[in-house]
Amino acid sequence: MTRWIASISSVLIIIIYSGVVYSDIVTSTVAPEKRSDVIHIDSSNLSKKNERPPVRFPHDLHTDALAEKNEGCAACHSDMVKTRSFEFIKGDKVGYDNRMNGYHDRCIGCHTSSIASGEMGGPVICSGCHREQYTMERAVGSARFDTSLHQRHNDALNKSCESCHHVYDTLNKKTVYEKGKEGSCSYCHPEKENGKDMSLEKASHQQCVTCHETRKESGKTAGPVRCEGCHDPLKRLSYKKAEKIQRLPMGQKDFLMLQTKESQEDTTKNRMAFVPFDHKRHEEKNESCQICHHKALTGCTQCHTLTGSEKGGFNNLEKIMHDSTSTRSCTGCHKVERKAAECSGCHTFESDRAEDNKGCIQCHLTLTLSEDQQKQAQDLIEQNIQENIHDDFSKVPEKLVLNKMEKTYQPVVFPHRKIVQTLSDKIKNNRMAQYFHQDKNTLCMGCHHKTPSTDTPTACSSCHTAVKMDSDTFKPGLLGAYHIQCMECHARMGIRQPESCTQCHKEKN
Amino acid sequence: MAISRRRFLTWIGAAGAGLSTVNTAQASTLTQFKGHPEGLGVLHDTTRCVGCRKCEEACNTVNDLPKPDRAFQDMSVLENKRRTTTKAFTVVNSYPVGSQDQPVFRKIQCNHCLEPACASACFVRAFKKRADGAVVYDPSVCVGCRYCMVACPFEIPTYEYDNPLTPKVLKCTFCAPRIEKGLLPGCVESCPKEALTFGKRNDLITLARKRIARHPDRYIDHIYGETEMGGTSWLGLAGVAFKDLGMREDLGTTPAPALTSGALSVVPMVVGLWPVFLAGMYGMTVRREKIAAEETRSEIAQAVKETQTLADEKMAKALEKAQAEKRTALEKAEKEKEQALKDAMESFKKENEPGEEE
Repeated sequence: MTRWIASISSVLIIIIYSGVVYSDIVTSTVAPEKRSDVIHIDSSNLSKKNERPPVRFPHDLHTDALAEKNEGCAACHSDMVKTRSFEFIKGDKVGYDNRMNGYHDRCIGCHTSSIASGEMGGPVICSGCHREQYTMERAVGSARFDTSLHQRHNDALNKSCESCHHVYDTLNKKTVYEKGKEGSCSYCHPEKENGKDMSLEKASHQQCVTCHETRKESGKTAGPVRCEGCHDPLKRLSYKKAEKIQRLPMGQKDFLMLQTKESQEDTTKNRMAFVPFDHKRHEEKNESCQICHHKALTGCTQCHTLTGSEKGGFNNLEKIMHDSTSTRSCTGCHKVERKAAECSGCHTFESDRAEDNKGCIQCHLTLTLSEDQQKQAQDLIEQNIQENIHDDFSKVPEKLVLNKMEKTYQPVVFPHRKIVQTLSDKIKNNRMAQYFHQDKNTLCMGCHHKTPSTDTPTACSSCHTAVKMDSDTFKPGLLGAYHIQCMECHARMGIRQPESCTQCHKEKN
Repeated sequence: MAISRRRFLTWIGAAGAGLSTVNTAQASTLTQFKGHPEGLGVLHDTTRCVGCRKCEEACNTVNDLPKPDRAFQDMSVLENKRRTTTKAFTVVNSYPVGSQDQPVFRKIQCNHCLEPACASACFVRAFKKRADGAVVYDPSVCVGCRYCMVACPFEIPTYEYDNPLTPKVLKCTFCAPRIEKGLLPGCVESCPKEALTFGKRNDLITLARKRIARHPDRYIDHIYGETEMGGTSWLGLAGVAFKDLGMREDLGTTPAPALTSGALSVVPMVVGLWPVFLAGMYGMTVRREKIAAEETRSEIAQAVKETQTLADEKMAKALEKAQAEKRTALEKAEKEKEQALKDAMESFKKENEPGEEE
């Protein structure tokens, strides 16, 4: 009898155990929901006696709940209208116990009274807010401001820059508007509170959210007041784009020759050829001035000197212009542009390191500086570009028969001119590509590589031959050269053809 | 058999002394074998492979292998992960990788390790590592134990189970006969994308490093086979994690022979020295005990004899004394008897004298 009981109960235990352990009921950790409105209420930096886990507070949830009761921000942020402060617990030096009691009294108090009056409330017990396993996760996206958003604000506020832009008057301890000193908020407001300047988060909430809230209350069109409206990447995708983005007049030049600060003072001190820089086109191309002007709306050489200075973080001029890993440097940004599908067919074979590519002369054009000569440079560039657009490729062979490697397949009929024409068409609408391909032979050099610029580049088989035991390990053979060049280019440019070997070369029977 | 404490300690001491004389292979693995200087290899760049299977076809042709059931142009075989077989020394597998829309292809074959596990495990020396890098197999000495298949960390050698009389272990030969003639391996020659580059192993490592340096976004910064299992002649480059391509990342850099050389190096000592030592110790202790036993026995005998002699003497003395006493006693008794008789006679006489009237 006992044997039966023992065996059945052990089987049952095994079944239940495996059911519990391998099921999702007990051990399921549902991934916490990513929300852009989650605020961490964590006072563990004030005291070590944190008995309960920090609270994750969903702000939008509360905004919506209060909106249903026709209450606005002032329900919790009582001082908002007057001081424009969004601090929930006032004061920096409140202390752990006061903070705790402040939160508990106000949060639990409000929740309890809501429930008491028959409405939806929030948690009233400790573990309702202080959870061991979080159900939500903070995923606050960047609330970037770009030229389109700026234009929309400009239109809405009727070009009154003083609505947002200010400088800080340290003497009178207040913000004042100063014309000509408009810039990005991040120029003065740091990412994190540093004890001296107000943090970007605080400043932007004060400036933006209060304005939006007040406009909304007075019935005008306003921007978002919920966290999600600015901080959720998906919501940002659905923003309306401004139709026409007007250029912001800050006294910037349309076209200039880049030079060092030293040579600005004394041209004879110049040692490197000047770089023609079409500032106007770069403005139009980029989403915000801040992409290049990351610290101030001035020229780069104001902070970044030839040999490096403290103001420029000891990043000297060469580095900031040529750092191929940064998206802010000239070369770095251009490198990213070359990764586009239209360009990467040829450019994929380049080394990722800018130092390996020898295109200095493409930018460093001229040692001259006079106004006339600047104009000359600009005109010459424009002329070259226009010539290339109307170039005909009648001198380029139309078809080539590649028959050096016949074995299993018939020779390839290679549509040479069509490819060159296609590449030329692809750069037609890209001004940057046109600039760098002023020498039209550069289009050839994508495939006819490791040769100087020439109108009559040589065939692949003059450098690549059949692979043998004693071949150069570092150079592909002709078979590999053809297939690597063609197939890699097609893959990078998203060209699906050919889909099988026989589409390029039929089989021999 | 009861072992005395002394005997036991002697044995342990002898064994320990024997151990200390052995030069274990630990000392010899302080230097790593970097391959023969003229050793050849192949660099397999999986970012170039398109899974066309021309390498499989070429290997099949070059080695006169039977044609497979499904043609080499049939790409549906890539739906399954395949292994090398006795009829296919190399296979190409397709590995879907989440981050890319196209799968990554990889060719599997013998890696021709610098210190092969198969050669180390084979006790009849059927596998040999040649100076040109190839690991070749000699079927004439093979006994079919298949230890090589157990030992290979890449699970490459295959066995002809359905050949009962002359089964062979089969694997990629690095086209050793072709290389000797100055030809390229069949797979290398046929790859259209040059995903396989043939050359000196040292040159290939330089080439791989160059490719990684020029295109850091394209490659994982690691050459597979540079140090795995002590280094292999076939090297691999990939744009995704190697383990996503079925290439084990948990092999470590210790060559396979070094893993067992420690234990194996102890065998001659265990089989040769220890029996001699221990037998000697045993013999000596047994002899010593025997002698001790002898001595004890003789002493005991001696003692017994002496005791016996003493006892005999004592006995004799006692006997003599007893006899003397007996004699004296007898004499005394005689005397007394006589005396008694005399007395009796006298008294009788007295009684029988006149004087008595009654």
